[in-house]
Amino acid sequence: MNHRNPHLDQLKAMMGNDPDALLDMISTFVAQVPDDVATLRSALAARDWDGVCRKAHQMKSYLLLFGLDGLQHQAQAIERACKADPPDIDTLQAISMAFLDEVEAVIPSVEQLSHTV
Amino acid sequence: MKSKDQLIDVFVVEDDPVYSKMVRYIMELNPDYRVHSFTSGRECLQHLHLNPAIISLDYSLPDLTGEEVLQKIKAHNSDTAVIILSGQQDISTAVKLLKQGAYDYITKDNETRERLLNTLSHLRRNIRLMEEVQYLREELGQQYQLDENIIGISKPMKRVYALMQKAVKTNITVSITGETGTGKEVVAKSIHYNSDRRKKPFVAVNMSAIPSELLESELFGYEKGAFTGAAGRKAGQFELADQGTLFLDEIAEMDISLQAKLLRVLQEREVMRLGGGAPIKFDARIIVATHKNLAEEVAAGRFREDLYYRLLGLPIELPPLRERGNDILLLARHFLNEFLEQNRLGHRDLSKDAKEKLLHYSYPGNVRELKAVIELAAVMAVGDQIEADDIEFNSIKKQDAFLLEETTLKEYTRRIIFHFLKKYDNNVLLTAKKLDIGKSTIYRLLKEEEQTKHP
Repeated sequence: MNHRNPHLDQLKAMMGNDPDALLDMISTFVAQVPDDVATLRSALAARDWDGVCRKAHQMKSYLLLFGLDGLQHQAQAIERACKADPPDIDTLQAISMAFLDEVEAVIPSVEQLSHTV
Repeated sequence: MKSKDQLIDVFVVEDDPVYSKMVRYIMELNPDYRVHSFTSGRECLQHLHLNPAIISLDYSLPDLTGEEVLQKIKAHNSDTAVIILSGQQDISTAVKLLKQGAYDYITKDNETRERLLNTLSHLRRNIRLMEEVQYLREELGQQYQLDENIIGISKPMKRVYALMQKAVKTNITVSITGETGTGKEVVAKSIHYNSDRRKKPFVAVNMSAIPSELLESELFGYEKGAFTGAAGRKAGQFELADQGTLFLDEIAEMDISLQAKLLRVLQEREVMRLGGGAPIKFDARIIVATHKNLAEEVAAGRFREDLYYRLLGLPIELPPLRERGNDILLLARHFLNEFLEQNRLGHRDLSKDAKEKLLHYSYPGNVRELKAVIELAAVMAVGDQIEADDIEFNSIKKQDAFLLEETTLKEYTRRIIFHFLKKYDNNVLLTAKKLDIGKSTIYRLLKEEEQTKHP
């Protein structure tokens, strides 16, 4: 699965081959993801579907920057599920938990990318 | 690259730190941009005093919607270009935001960089043009300084200055009346360029210069297909004057049916383009002018009374030049110097006789006519002195002019006799015959004239 195989092609296309900028983006990702995961978990626990939707929406954009298309699609699916009226809570919980596990697992791989810059 | 003071302030408003850094990086590729990053709508709004030229705005912010932030930015400064960045492609939202004044709507995807750079490139051209427009407006404003542009120290002109000073401090509608050539448009521009609206457009529309059937679309604009020949959408003059001043010259010439529409527009402060469905709000100071007496036009049924009162506002009546005494010489000197400088001619003075001649003419064409007379005299003069003979009055309204200046019967008689003496090469007998008067009358007049000149 490409979920766990991040790459910098997209980021390089966006920002060029500036090593400092790329390293900065990687470290920002590594620092940001745990916070976002925690926020999303809290929102799920509180059944705050607006909060879940907002966070999934925000994460999908930066996941794409690191070539994590599969995770981006998962975030999109969460967003869609939140907007359903009424939301299918079981499905939402299931896809969200899977998503969060995958995202957490991908952090070391992204961190490793700093050696390829 | 611009100096620190000339840098263009740009905001990146994005709550996602990763995306915020990326957009900032792209923005900073242009060394002329000074980029400020904010993570919420409120933080962005709190910094609008920095007057950013461009704002990249994430549509889904945690505190306010992109739409709310956009509206507040536009209310602060409608010239700020707002680029919406959104995580989802939503055509209806994009159309709505573009209608509300967003410059572009860009989806966060693989194409973001190219689209953003493309938009920034377009904006750079627009900003450069706006800077040029701003520069030219300031230059123009300099030309309309109240104390430099309106020349005259006569009592009627002092009253005009006093009223203009009141007009520039408020947004009151101003109605300017005065004969043709008294400088109504100059006064209107001076009010605009000395008011708080000076940095916004001054739009002038002459009612008598546009065929009545075209005037409505000119003023209010039209949508594509509104009438045969309406190939595209066109904004009207009311829209173009938004936040500035709309000068409606020769307002008395407006067709009575259009007057009703104008009244509605002024009451509602919104226009509807021809063929358009939604009203468009405008905020423009209105200045109207006419050479006619609007009250008389109302009495004659040619001008709506309700519109008359709506437009009257602060009335400023410009005196005809013949009632401005020595202002004639001040203006003559001003026009002469201006003409000599523009044409790189050496210094020239007005002789005593030339001044006398200028003072004794009635100027049916007012200041405009004086300017033309002086410029011609400057060309005709042989030496560095402009003589009375260099001054020629060629008014097409000579006969009216003759009576416009109220004087004594003796003075009228003197002028008539001298006119015919000049016409018949100072032949007294022929002049006396033509005027059916005794030649002694003419000799007596010549003697009196001689005594006046050489007492």
